[in-house]
Amino acid sequence: MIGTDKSAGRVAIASLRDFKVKSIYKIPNMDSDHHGLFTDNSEYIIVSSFFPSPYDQKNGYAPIEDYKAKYRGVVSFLKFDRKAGRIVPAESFQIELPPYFQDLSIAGRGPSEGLFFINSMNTEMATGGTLEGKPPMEVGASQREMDYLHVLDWKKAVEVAKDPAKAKVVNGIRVIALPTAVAEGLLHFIPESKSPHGVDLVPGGEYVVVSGKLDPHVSAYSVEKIKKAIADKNFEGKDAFDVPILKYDAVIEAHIETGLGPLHSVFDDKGNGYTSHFLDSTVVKYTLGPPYNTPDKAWKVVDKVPVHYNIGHLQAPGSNTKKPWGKYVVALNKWSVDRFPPLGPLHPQNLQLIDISGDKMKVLSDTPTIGEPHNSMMIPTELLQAWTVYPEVGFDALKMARSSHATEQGKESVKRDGNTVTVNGTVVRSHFTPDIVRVKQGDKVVFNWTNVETARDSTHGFGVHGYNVNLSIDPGATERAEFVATRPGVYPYYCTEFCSALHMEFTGWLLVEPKA
Amino acid sequence: MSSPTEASSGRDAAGGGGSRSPSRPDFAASLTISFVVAIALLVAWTLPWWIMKSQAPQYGQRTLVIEIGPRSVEGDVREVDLLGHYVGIRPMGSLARLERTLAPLGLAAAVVGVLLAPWLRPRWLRLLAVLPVLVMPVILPIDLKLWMNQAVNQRDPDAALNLTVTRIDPKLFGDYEVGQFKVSTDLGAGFYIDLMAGLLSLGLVLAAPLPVPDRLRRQRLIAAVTTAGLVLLVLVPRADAAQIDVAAHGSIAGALAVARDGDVVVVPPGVHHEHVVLDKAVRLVGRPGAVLDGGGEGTVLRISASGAEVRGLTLRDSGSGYDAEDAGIRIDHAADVRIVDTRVEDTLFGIFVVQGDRCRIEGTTVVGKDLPHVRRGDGIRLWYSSGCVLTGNRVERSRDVIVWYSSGTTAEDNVVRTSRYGLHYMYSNDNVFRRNRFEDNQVGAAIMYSRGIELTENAFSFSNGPSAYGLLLKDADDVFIVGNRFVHNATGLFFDGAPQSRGGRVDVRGNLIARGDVGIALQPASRGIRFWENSLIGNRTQVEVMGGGSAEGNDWSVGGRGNYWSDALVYDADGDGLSELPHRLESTYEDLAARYPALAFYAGTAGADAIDTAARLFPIFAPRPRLADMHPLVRPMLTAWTADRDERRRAPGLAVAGGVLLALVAATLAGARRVLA
Repeated sequence: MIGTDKSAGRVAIASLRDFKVKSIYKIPNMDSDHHGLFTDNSEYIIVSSFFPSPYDQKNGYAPIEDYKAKYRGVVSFLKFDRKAGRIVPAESFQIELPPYFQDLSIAGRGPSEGLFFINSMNTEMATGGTLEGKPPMEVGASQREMDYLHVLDWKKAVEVAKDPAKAKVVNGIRVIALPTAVAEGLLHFIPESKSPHGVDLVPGGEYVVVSGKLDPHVSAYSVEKIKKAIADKNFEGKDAFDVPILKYDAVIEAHIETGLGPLHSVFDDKGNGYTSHFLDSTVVKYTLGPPYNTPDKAWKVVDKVPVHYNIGHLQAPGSNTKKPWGKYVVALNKWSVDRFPPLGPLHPQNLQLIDISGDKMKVLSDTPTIGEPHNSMMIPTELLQAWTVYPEVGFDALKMARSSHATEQGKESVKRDGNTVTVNGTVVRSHFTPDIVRVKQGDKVVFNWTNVETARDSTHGFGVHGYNVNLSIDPGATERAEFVATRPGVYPYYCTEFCSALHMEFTGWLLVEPKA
Repeated sequence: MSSPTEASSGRDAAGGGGSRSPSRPDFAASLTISFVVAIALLVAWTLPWWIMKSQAPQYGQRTLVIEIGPRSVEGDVREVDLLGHYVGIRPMGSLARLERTLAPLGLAAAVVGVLLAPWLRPRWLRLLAVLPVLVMPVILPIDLKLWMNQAVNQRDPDAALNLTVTRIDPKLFGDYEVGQFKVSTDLGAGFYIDLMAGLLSLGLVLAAPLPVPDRLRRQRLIAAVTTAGLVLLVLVPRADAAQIDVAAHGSIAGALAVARDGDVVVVPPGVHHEHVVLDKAVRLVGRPGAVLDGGGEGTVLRISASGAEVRGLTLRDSGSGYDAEDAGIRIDHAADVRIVDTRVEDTLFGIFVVQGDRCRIEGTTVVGKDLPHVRRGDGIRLWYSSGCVLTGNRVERSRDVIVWYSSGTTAEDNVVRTSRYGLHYMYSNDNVFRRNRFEDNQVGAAIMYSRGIELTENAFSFSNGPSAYGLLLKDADDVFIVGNRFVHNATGLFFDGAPQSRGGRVDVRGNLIARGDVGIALQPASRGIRFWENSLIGNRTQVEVMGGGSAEGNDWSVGGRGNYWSDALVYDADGDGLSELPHRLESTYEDLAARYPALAFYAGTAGADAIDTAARLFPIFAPRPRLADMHPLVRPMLTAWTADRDERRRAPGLAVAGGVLLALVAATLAGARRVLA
């Protein structure tokens, strides 16, 4: 599983064997990312920058007045080594983009395979400046009528990136410059309703569905028409960076008038789409075009259900795949208002489960959540092959192999090497071995604990008073904590995960002898 | 005052040599009279001149009082107009508009006259100066009487309760009865004070004129010339402004090239195939029939100069590119631009204003391209443009009228029809909307993220989209919705997060909310709204609370006055127009229908009513209360505006009336010809 980090332009890779992060990769030339996803056959992880930046300028700096000239967005195609669970920078590349805010995205499949779509906003290139007499950021960024849906031919881009003349290395990664991308026909724009949220792809990949939250329509673009318009060079103009803009009327398939504030769309296996509406607080169900429905029944609103309140994303099982399969939609509502008793100024949000198996949608239940869950994915549990306990005792989750610090029962030790005291110990219900550790003030203390249990759920913890240490040690795992014992005194350590009848007695002592 | 000071007598001696006065001028007396009269006039101005008290059975023991002054109609105007409306009498506010507009000028003339009178030499001139004071107490009653006769006898024959009485003779003084109404009238303090002032001012005519100091007299000529010059300067600004005829320069662009700021460029009749850039503060004036045609490409007229003006032109056929935002007129970074009596047709966007502060768009019609809704542009779009005024415009077949990031906008007497959002309004504060009609749009008005909005006497009717709100209000504060009508919308008013701030106000008063699927819909984050004196008539669901909560966080009566509910059981024992039975909104039928959707089929049928009636008589079920109005009104409180019928319903009537009229004229002409033959 890959997660993106908007604040730092990084991706984290977690294994679904043990649901732990295996590596974090800082993407060069990007300070931020909002969204990322795999290509259909997982060839690449594609992540685009949200905030443009002067990344190839000296010290990464250029005054904001040079925004148009020197700031750029970027989309990264990161090669992923599945076995190692690592990004391979040498086989990855980037394409330079105009300094718009590149936002949510979707990779093609079926007829759209090889294409990649990114929503954008702030094609006005507004930079704010309220105290300098300019319109505020959001005012400037919502001036124009339309923003641009980016259409990238990533398969062609892979070939272009192989040519060193066309892809220069910047900060350790190959970058196809914007003029090259335009010249090679890698990038086209389509006008889309301004400030869009979702860009979603119907299951078969025939239509791209976009909602601009200020337009009460869901817009569906035909992939076939997009390909034809690109082939025919049916353009209505170019943007300020010479990127060709496809003729709107040539690529639009349908506008479905669904209500106020449409955001995101998901799909079922019966040829229907479901779009969340922030302003109306509704989920609207509508029919898709051919081949899902006959033309007379295509693109029609068939049902609408109120949700509570201010829905953002929504999710349906398998919606982002070829084969949606679920009977439910989950509404991720931003506000709960009157759904739950008030629990302080930071109130829980509300997830609502909606039954979509019949003709009419039905809200089944409300579930409070905290911390603004923003988006979600649903996969069948059959796809999970998680370990119930680690395959070998003494497992290092980061290396996905036996740890060099693994300790067997009976071979526990406390060793001093200069000022470093290393404890190689074991935990098992209901004791630490060793349960007394003696060090001197100023020593560096290293604990390597191996949970030697092989019973499911028998996770133990290692908490140390006064030194802000708390490890969670899953069955079979070896975990490490190290710190400098700067303060003298007696510091109990104890199991922090309730495990047994004698859990409260599951303790030990760290004795830090004062300096003479 | 028999001993004037030496100084004054000296001046008199020096200045009065030319003409001997019959009596010595008396400064103190003349000035006292002059000032007392002036002050009396000002005082009279603020007081009623004529008072009408009437008692109607509808208002029980209450006496309705109307006070009329030279300029004002005050008191229980709303109530009396309402009564008048039933019998077809025009609202009082619409009478004697001209007189009331001129009244301030009359007052100013009277005050200036009495202040000048003591100094004027010829008696006839002094008489002339005080004449306004003298005639005011005469003109007002006569004019009032004429208007009264006209108003009560030229009634709307289609009124709901046309009087059986054919002619009414309203009295200026004294008591009389009209049907069930007892009316007593009298002159007010203002009249008497003004009458006294008039008599007093005669003293100025009789008294000796005061001498004008030498210094002033010598400068009188200069002063007169200067004043005349100033007046000329004000009345005829830019005497040097040149008038440039386009015909002489081959093209509008050619004429503009030689024009200087302040010039008038006159566009002759005919179709001009040009894309014009107005980058000078000139007035572009179209003679009747002058058309600027964009030929289906680009923006027809771009205005980039502050202070420019367009008047009387027709602009048509812009391009249809969203990306280029093709428009009829685009005002870009230019302030104080005026668009007057202009017609914009067959354009993607009509008038597109970007950072154009204090623009004025008046009497202009915008009709968009004949495209499906989703492909249209906005009729008028104000973006980051403050202090604009939109009056008397008509927008049709467009997408929205947009007001975004534009504060201090005033929109009056506009009509927006067959468009998407009649008004699409965000992040804009302190704006006023009066007497606009938003009809046949998908959404009447969507107002979001704003504060300080006055909506008075607008119509939000026949909204027909999938979210067919008359008015959607989201996250807004200090919104005053008074005297509007919301008729035939899926949902009349929709509130979400309004008021949004602690201390924020949303007042909904005196509106007509009728014939909707839902009258008022509330998201539960809307608390603290005050609803009173509204008339909720025949909405399938009068008030809906989303999520099944309660609407009781809002006030449903203010100052002991609630709303009129067409479905309320009312009982008014003391005849004060307020029901003693609180109206609780709790429909057993609706509650059941919410649980068993199949029952929705029976909405509005006798079956549904039977369930509700049974539930009231035998309260075995306890439906959830949505709200309680403790003081419901017995009768709807309609004003002339809210009770007015919507234009599109009137159009066929007008057509029929016009047809009949034509037929009559034709018949008369035919008859006349026969007689002559």
